[in-house]
Amino acid sequence: MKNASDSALVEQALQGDQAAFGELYLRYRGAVHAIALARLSPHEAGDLVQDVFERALSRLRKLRKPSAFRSWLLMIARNGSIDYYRKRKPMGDNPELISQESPPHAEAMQIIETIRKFPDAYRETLIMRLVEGMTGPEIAERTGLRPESVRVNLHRGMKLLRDALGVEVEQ
Amino acid sequence: MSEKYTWDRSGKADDDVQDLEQKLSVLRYDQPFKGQMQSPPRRSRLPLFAAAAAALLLVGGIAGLKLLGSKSPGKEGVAAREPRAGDTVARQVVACSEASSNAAGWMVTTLSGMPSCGERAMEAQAILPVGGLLETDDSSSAEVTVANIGRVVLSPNSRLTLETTGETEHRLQLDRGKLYAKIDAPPRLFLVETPSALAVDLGCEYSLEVQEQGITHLHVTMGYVSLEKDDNEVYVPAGYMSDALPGRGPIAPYADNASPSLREGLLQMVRAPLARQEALSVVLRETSSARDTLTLWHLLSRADDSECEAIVQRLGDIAGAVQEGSCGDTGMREAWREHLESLWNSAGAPTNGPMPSKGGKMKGKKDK
Repeated sequence: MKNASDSALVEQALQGDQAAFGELYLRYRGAVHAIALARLSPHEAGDLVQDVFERALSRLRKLRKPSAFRSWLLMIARNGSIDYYRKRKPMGDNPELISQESPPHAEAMQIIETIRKFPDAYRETLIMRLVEGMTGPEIAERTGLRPESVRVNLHRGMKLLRDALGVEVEQ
Repeated sequence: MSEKYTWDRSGKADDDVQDLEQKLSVLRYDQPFKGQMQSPPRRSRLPLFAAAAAALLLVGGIAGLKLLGSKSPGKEGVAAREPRAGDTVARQVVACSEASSNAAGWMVTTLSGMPSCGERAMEAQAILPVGGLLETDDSSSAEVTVANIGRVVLSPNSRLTLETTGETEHRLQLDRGKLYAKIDAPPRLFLVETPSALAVDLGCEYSLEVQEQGITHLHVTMGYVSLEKDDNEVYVPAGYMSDALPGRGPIAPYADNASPSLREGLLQMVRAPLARQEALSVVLRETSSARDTLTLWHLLSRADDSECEAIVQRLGDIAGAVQEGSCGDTGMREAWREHLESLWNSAGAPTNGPMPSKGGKMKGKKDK
């Protein structure tokens, strides 16, 4: 099942195969979480991951082309994260909430806050690489971006991040 | 910086990247899916259509896919209609139902004033059936719940008809005025006909207006919308606008902070063929930012040889490099897109979506 295409897994899920949908969940959980974490707190991002997949599951039969599952799922994730963000400000806007996190989380969230200031394309790619542990080829596979585009995003995003963190360190 | 390590963790380890990975991995999400399948989702029993006759490929977050379109009537089993001037064509009145009834249709809620539904003044809520007309005057507005996929707000002085609603398509016709749509659905499930073009939702939020002289004005604020008329189609991402002229279809998209002169230049290129060169000069003069390269790139597929040279030169001025080739060459336009994508990334123009390889479906022909 790990090597099955998205189309095949969607078709199986439509027949009631829970394991097939479970494989889709494992396959795209990281990408969806990265999209959510680009805007939301870790807690909200986790909630959104569950919401996105529940929504995908409930609407799976409306997907006319199973091969479009990836793009459809990521669109739900992006729209959902924007909606969440508009309703509630992420923890990143509240320094007091960050300080209540455990030290490793607090330091991680400060880096995420820096990444959140970058353009969308760099933001999500960096979070997929550094938080979710996805490689460049995996990011391309999961998002549908061309590897060349991902490489550019990673290279430029990483440079921006080094520069930004370097400035903060000096201060 | 070790690019190889950054790319796929091969080669010499990069200390900085490893340090970031270690710090940020604490935020990794590894929870199982908590949802349950209640019963096997039922598959739509409507037949799939052959690729040659099908709608555009769903692209969502994929850049660079080739998009094929078919505007043949009868697509997806729904009878296609030519846009009609609702004000001048007599039509059978289809009554709206009370909100408390179990009638089929979409819920309409009054936002201000007293809209009319089915040509009768409506109460706070009503059900708009297929074929039903929703109209607002200068002091009224209404919100329409679009099946279970989103909502539409109809502005004052506007009029729309619910054409179809079903598993494979939800279609409105906007005769005049303005609507705002926020849709959360697979691409091409929600469509709005206007006198000048068909707006096809690709998962987004946008406003659509039928202006005087029948010009359709589209402004996308989230996601993408495809604006189509026969063989002429453009993909308008968030932060961009496009207009469609009656009988001509859409112009190239332009940034929503572009100058009025740029918009006018793009319109003139279509409206006044004899003054096209002059209009193109205006367009080239008014494009200067990274965001404007999206507009110029769309023009590549609509340019003749002399125009092509000028557009390529302008792109080169902004982008800092030039791709060789003729505008009729798909490979050349694809090379430009690959080069410009990083510029669009840094400018904030979303490219995690259906950016067509052909810059719309003009196939190297000029706007008519």
